[in-house]
Amino acid sequence: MVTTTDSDPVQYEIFPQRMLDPSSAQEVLNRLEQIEGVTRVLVQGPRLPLTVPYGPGKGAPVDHTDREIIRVGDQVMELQVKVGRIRLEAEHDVMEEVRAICEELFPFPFELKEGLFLRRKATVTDYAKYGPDENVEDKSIYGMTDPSMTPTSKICESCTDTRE
Amino acid sequence: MAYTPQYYPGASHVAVNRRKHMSGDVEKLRTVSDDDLVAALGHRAPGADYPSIHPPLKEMGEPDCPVRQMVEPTPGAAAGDRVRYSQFTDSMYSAPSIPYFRSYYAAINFRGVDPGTLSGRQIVEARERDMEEQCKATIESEMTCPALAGLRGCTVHGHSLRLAEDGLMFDMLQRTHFEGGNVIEDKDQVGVPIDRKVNLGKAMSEAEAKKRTTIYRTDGVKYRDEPEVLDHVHLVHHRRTMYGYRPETAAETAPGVGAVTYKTV
Repeated sequence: MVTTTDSDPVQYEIFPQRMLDPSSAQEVLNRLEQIEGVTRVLVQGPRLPLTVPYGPGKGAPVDHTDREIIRVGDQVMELQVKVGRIRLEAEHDVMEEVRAICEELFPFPFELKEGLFLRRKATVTDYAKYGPDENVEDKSIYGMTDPSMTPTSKICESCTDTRE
Repeated sequence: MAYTPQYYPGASHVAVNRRKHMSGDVEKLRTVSDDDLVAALGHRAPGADYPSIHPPLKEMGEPDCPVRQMVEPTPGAAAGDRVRYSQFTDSMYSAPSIPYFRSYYAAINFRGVDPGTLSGRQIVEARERDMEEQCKATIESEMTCPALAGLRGCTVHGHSLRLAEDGLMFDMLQRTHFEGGNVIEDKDQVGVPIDRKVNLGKAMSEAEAKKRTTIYRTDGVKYRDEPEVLDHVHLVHHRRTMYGYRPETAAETAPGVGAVTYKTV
């Protein structure tokens, strides 16, 4: 069980009524990134595969137009999912700033919830991926990766594979 | 006087649409050419002959069988076509049809089809030309909105996901996309690119989709607001639960006994 205190960072989940296009996602993420105190942002949604994963057409290229390269702050990344939810963590209460951004950018309704969406402690999976907790320098990596991610598909340099 | 089946209880427009789908009295909204349909299905090349798995029945010489004499074979069976499939997915966001009513439509209105009903998809297996006839009628009618329903042989999970910003049901294989206001299909139903753009026409507006839908939803017609449907479902449930395979022995729901009150949980 995770016990929260007033000094713990707060987490939010944005759940728009429509799944976001890459351009909208980029806009929202950039605006969220500019809020002071936001430390972590994660996007979640259904995966956009490069090739047809199964069925009679297995292996055929998909070329999904939503699998776009977006720029958030000074980071450039390829979207591998259709953005359905955005989860973020901040050092202090930024609920109203986030709500204002969503109301400005989304022409459709959305849900904004406060809760625990990104884990703060290492799980067994994290232990297998990154090693013992005391050896992990950047603990903000916990909860930020795809659980089925292979060790070779890093999202950042701090995700080193520590397994032997 | 000829008997006209009612097919489905209820007074709301959702119940009316369900009756329309079951009876086959559906409006034709668009035209898809035979070659476009064949390309979208992906079973054979457009314009090619139907491959066969046996000689035409007339050449085979059938055994002396009263059932075979009574039942006229469908065109596909008579010609010896292969059995092929078409599969549709319907978004839960007020798509015009749903798997159950696609199956009712196919089974009641077409011969020689084998509909399979699943939670998110509906498949019809039949001899190739019979399947194409049924699929063409379905895709051209009000049962299909090109944005809220799709011809998908695999990866159907978009039916339960939120729509995209442009109103298109999510498809990880992106078989369809908007082009100039129309929905264009440029892959076959299993996601293999085809050498043509099949124009499926304009998507239904949100209001039109809600008008043509067969889905009871809390933001549309609520299931609980349809007393006749609820009563009928209760009746079927009661007879099936209490009397199993002999529902006609249910004395308390026999004709003439009067209204039976069910307690809705």
